[in-house]
Amino acid sequence: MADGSGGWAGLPLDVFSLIFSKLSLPQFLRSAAVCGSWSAAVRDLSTRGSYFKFRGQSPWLVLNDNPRGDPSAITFYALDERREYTVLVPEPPISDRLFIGSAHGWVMTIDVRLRVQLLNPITGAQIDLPRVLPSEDTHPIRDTAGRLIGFRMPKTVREEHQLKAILSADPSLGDGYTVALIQYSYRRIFFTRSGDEKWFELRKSILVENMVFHKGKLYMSTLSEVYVCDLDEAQIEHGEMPRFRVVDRALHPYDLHYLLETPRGDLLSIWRERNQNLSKTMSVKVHRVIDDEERPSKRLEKTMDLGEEFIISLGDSRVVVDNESLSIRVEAKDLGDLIIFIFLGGGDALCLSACDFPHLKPHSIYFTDDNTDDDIISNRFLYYLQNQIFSAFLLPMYLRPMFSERNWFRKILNCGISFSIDKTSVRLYWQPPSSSIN
Amino acid sequence: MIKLVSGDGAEFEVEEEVAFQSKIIKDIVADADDVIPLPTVSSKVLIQVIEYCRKHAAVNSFPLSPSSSAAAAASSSSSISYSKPVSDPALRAWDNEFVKLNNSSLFDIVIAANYLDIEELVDLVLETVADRIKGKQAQEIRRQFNIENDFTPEEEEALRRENSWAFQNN
Repeated sequence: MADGSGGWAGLPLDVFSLIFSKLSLPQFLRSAAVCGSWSAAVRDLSTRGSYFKFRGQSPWLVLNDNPRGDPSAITFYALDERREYTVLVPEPPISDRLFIGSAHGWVMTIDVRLRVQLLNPITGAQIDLPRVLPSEDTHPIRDTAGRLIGFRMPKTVREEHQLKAILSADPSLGDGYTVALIQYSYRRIFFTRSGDEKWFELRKSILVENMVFHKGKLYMSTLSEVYVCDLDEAQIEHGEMPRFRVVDRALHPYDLHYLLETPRGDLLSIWRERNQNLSKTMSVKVHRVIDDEERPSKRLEKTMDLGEEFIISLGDSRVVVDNESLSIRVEAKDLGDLIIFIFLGGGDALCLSACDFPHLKPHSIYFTDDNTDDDIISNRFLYYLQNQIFSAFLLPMYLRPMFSERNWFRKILNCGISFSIDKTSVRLYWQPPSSSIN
Repeated sequence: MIKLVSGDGAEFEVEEEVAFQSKIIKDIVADADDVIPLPTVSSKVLIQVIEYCRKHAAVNSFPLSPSSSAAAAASSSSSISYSKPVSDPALRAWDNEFVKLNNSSLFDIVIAANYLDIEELVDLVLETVADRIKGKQAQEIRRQFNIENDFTPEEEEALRRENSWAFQNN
C-alpha cells in the first residue's frame, strides 16, 4: 500500500476517469461494486454526459435468438469480450420488434403494431417516436423459428418494409436530436426531431442508399455519390429538399457503398465494385470524408439540387467515371493502427478495434459478400491495406449468408464459444455509447 | 540542466529535454529558476520517472515533441482521450518492461505521473491499471489492488441489482 491517503481507493477523479475510459461498458459498471469510492466515481462519471468518453468500443451484436426465452430481454454478444449479455428491456416484447438502427448507445425498433421506438438497453429508457406507417391490417411475417422478419401490408407488392433508422445525437443528453428513416421499398425519407408529433417527408424521391449524421451534418449516399448538407430544420418541416453538396464519388456507377464512422470520429466513404467475376480485379476506394467549405476538394467541388434530373443522370454518361480508378486505388492513407472494418452481408459495416482482435490484421478491410439475395455460394474476400497496396485473399467458401455470417464470426473473428444455438442469426448490432450512459 | 528535488531531499540534475517531458516542470521553468522542488515525489519514484523521461526524450530526440503537444491540445479541446500508441516497437517493448511493477509501485508512478503531467507516462500506467481490472470481478479487483470492501452486504447487493446484467456470469 502506498501511504495513508487511501491508495487505489482514493484516486483523484480525473485519474479514475482516465482508467475507466479504457474499460468496456460492463467492466465500468462492475467497478462500482469494488468499494464506496469506486462506486462514487462510477456514479459521478456516468452522469457527466459528454465529459466522459469510453474508449472507442467495438459494437455488440444483437442475437435474434434469446437463449433464456424471455420476451422482455435482448441478448447481446460483446465482440470485444467474446461473451453474451442478456439485458432486460421494457415492453413491447423484443420478439415483436425489428431492429432498424443503432447509434449513441440506443437502438431503434419498429414493432408489430408499427410503433417506432428509441430504446436505451442499458438504462431501460424508451422514447416513443411518431408513427410512420399506417397500421391497418398489418401482419407480421415470421420465419419458421418464429422470429419476426418483416411485415405484410395491404395493397403493396413488396412484403417486407426495409427500414433503416439513424440518430443524430444521444437522447440521454437532452432534446435536440433528429431521427431519420429510410424506407427502401419506396425510397422515401422521413425525419422527426425530439418532441415532434409527426414525421416530415422529403418531397422528392432520391435513390438513397445510406445516410449518417456526422458532426452536425447529414451525409447521404446514392449508388454513385456522397452528399452532405447542413440540416436546416425549417426546410425539412416544409418538406423542402436541403441543398446537398457532393463530397465523394463512386469509381463506377452502381458500386456498393458504405458510410462508416470510426471510433476516432472520422467518416469513411468506401466504394466497392459490384463484381461477380472472381478472376477480375475488384476496385475499392476508401475516402476519408472531410466537409470543409473553406477548402473544398477541387475534383469534387459541385453543388446541385437533388431531384428528377439527378435520378436520370445516374445511369447516364454524364456521371463521371474516373478512368484512373479502373485499377485498385486507395485514398485513405491514415486508417489508423487500431482499426479494422468488417462488412456484414446486407450493407452493414462494423468498425472494430485491432486491440480487441489481435489475431486479425490491423490496417485492414475485411469484406463479406453483400449479394445476400443470391442463391449461389457466397465468396468472402479479405483485403490487407498495407503500403497502399491491396492484395485479395479468398476466404473459405461458406453457404448462405445467414449461416456463413455465423461461421464467419466463429472462424474469422474467433468469437465462437457462445454461438451455441444453431438458429442464431445476427443482423444488426448495437453501438455502445461513447459517453454518458444515463 | 535542471535540478529536481524530491520530497526526501535528494537532488537530481537532468537535461531540459528530459525534464520537459513533464508539462508541469516545463511551466514552472518558464517563470522561475532551475531548481524545482517536488515535495510529493519520493526519490525512489523520481528515479523511475526520470528513467522513463530519459528514455523517451532520447527516442523522441527533441524536447516535447510537437505531435504530442498537438495531441494534447486536441484531446483537451474535445475531451476525448484515445491512447496515442507509441509507434517505435523498441520503445514499446521498453515501456512494457517498465510497467512490470507491483501494484504499490505502480500506484506511486500513477500519482507522480499525474502530478507531473507526463502525458505518455500517465497513459502507459493507466493502461496497465485498466489491464489489471479487465476480466475481473469486484472481489478479485479488491484483492489485486488491496482495497477494503466498505459496503454492507445489503449495499453491495443493491449495487449489483442496479445493473445486474453486467454482473452475469458467462
